[in-house]
Amino acid sequence: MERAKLYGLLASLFRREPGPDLLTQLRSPGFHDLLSETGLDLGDEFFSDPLDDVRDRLQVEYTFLFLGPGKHISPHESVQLKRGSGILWGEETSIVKQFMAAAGFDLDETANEIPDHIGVELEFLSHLSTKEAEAWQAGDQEAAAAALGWQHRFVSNNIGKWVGRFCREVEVAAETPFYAEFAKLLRTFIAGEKSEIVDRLAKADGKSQRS
Amino acid sequence: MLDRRSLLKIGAAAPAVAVSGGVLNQVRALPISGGKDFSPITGMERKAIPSACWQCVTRCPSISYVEDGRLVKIEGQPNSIRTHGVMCSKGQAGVNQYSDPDRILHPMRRVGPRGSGQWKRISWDEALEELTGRLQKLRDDGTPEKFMFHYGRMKASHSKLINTFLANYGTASKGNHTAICEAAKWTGQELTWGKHYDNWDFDNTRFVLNFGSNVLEAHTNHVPSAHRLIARITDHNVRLVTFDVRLSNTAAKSSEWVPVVPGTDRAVVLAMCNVIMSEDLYKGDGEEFLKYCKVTANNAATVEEKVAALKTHLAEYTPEWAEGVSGVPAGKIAEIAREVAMAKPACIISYRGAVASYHGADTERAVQMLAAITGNIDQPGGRCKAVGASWKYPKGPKDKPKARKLKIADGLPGAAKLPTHHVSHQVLKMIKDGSHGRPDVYMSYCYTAVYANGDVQENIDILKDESLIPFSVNVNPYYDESAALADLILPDTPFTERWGWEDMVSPAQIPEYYIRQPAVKPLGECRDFADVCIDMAERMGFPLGYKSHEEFVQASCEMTPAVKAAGGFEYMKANGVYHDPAAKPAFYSYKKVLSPEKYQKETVVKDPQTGTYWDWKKAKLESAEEALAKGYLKTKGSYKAYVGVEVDGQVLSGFKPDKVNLSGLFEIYSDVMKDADLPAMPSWTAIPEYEAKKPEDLILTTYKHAAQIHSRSANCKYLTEVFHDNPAWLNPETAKTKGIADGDAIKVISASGELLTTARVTPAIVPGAIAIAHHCGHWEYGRYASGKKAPLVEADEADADRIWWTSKGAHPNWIIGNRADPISGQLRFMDTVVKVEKA
Repeated sequence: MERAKLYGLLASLFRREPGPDLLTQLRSPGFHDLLSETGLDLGDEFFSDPLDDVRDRLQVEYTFLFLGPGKHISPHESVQLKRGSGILWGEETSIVKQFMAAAGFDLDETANEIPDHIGVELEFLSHLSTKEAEAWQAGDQEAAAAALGWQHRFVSNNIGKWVGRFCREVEVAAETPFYAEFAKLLRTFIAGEKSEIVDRLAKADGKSQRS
Repeated sequence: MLDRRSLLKIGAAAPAVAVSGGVLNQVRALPISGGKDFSPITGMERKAIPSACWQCVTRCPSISYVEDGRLVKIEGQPNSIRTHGVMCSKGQAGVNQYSDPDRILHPMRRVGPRGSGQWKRISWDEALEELTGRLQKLRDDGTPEKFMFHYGRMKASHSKLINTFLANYGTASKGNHTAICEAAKWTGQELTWGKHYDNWDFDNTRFVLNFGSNVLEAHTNHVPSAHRLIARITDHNVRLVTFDVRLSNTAAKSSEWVPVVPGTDRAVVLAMCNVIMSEDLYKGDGEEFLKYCKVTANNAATVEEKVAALKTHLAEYTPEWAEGVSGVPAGKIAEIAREVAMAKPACIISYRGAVASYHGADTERAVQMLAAITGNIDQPGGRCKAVGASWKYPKGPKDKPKARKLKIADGLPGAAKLPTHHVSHQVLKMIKDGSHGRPDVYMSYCYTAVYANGDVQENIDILKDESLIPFSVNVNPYYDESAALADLILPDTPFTERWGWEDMVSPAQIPEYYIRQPAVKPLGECRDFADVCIDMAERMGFPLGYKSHEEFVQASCEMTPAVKAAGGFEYMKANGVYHDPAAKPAFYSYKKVLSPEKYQKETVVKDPQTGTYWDWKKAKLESAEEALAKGYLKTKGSYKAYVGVEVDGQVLSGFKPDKVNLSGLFEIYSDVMKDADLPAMPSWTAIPEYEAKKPEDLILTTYKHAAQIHSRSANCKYLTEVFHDNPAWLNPETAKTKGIADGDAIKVISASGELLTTARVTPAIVPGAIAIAHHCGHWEYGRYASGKKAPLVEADEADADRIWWTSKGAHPNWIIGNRADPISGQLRFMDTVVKVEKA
């Protein structure tokens, strides 16, 4: 379940600016230690400054990085994909939407999100890895294999193709450590996921074949 | 010999009875190709949504194709009487307005110093709470005029709805943008034939004479006019003669291009009038039309007196004199003058090239005079009074506050005497000046004051200064140069996600009704600003009576008789366009004889001086006696009370005035001009800057390219890929004297500043001039316009694949002053005196 949770956390961090609840949890001593162990350094100010100040700073930085008038680091697959269409709601976006629909997920129409936003893509993987974890718990290897199959295709054909470049841009452009460090985390995590998912798939396939 | 020609002669002579009495009845219109589209991958039919463009002001009917919830394509509307389904590159690239990767999707509040680029996303509630809080306070304090609204493109239902909001709020502090477009042309028309806009009836013309219109590349009725002109040239061998500083693509497609010194078209036109009058070429249609003209101070003058007055006035404007001013050979002027007078009918057209200069409004008056004395006004094949749709719409609350206004829209004192379309480029100067008050809240909508006006640096300095403008709001789907200097950005929808009804002029002289429908729902949190106005009105306690722009459009469809009869809103949603198939083109509007009950009313009097019938009650006077004592011309705003005019003992509808008190006759001699101490007859007035010009100085002129809109399309990838660089055109003769070779870096220096660019040495421009295109040199407005790239792009290509071009060109407005035509206030884009040297 920890993979699903990490996807979920990253989805929240990149979907929009962090709210006070999320920030309070991230600033808790336990999480601080955990981050230090992982080698992620969000900077002392992140933990010591008043919550509202930190929140304000991150709101400005999020807008600067992802919402337009700053660095042009689009959080959308159709814009980021190398040799892609380079436009918002491009054909790549349709493919992502169709893929999510094929996997049984429909975008909440009221949310006005674009399906290939980094936050939505990470949320999708969070759901898929939750399904997978639940399947393992229930001893249903076939369901686990199915959930992994969707993950494998999505990481290989979609998010894995652009997230590395997106994260490196954030690492270069970010003015405070917060987004730079989480971008590094995201990049490293997805890079590892490529082989992790293959391994898990082999395991699930093997088990489901044996049973 | 039995050839095809002889066969057709038999056809022509066939008795009518022989070709009637058949058995086939036409039950529906001939099928037209278009209107459908299919996915090249799946083969599935795409969803077709009839809509309307909003790239340029032409606003052509269109069809949006949606596949899988995504707008994939925009095409022309084949059932449109205006466009016949043709759509230009700009319209087709409308998909890029929707798919701009740098679109603003959320409201944003400035956090750092103004202009520092530091923003925070906020919710609509937060944004509108702050904004309406400020507006409410101004209203409560009795100073609603301190809310200034400055718009660029705002037309039809958007205009009606947003203006209803402003009127009910109580501000009349409004700025527009017409003075950077063609205000001189409209003022010139208002001074001659009343309500502005001339439609060019190419469908029926035999000759087209063009002064400074680049109609095949850019025009306020671009494709509807251009495709007709091309058809007329190719199918009917109609001659098009273009006077232009530059070999524009229109000039290149003309039968003849006649180069002219920038800003001197009026001299050529006056000389043509001289030839026509002195050689008696006005006889016939021109003479007949003079009956409806005012040519002297005496409105009741005879045609003979009018002819004599014209001959006397024009005597000094000989072709030889005009050659000295304009550089056009006298023989050529006389030759074309004779040709235009003989061609029956001829269509005489004009645009910014001829009017965006000193006394440009008088150039338009001169062109009107030329069309009048050749009998080419409002008749088939000529220069016609515009015909457009007449929508009815919900007017909003009945009880409005009396609107208050800051008098800052008409330019610096003395800048323009008759600014009937205001002096938008000097609004910021007026704010800086402060003598007529300043807005506390300055809101700009679909308008980039910084980039589109001249004196760019001054615009930036004023908009940045919080002591001059305490709170600045920009309504915009994109982060352009003006948005960058705002305090609050409200993300508007591009036109692809909006409702609207439209009414643009029909070149067929038959009105076309059409609507805009969203192709997709708004992306992110974008909202049509018309909807935001409805929301703000509710928040401030004066609901407008409708809940959305869509509801407004629906109500308008049901209220407008022609549209309702066709099937109302449902018909329009399914078809997009409507025109009455039985309607005949409208010409000779001025000749309509009024029924006696219209002018024999108790409240209507005849003005003895002008022969004008006017309604004193509508003019807010107390009695007929007061009206007669004051007189029509001396009563402020009496044009609004106009009824008709007497010609040869008949009361006719005449030329209905607008903005100024015109008699209803076609005014070649203008009392309004005379009263303003301006030439009563179209005249040559020397350009002061040219008088002081040194021989080595050049004249800077500007132009538009077919693949860009003036200032709102450089974010469109498809268009900027086509046109992204604008080296300055110089004639080889001129370049040689300055030692400049093609491709050299050059410096262009004016009174406003310096501009670095490169030279394009070409004989396609008149010697002594330098031409720099608009559209380029953006420093904001997303990656495609500004060339700004995301980090790592150089290292890792990505955008480098898509943005392969390296130059973004130079923006001429840095060195063009916000100088006004002293008549109309038009920004003088075409007559800046500059020095040019190798950089």
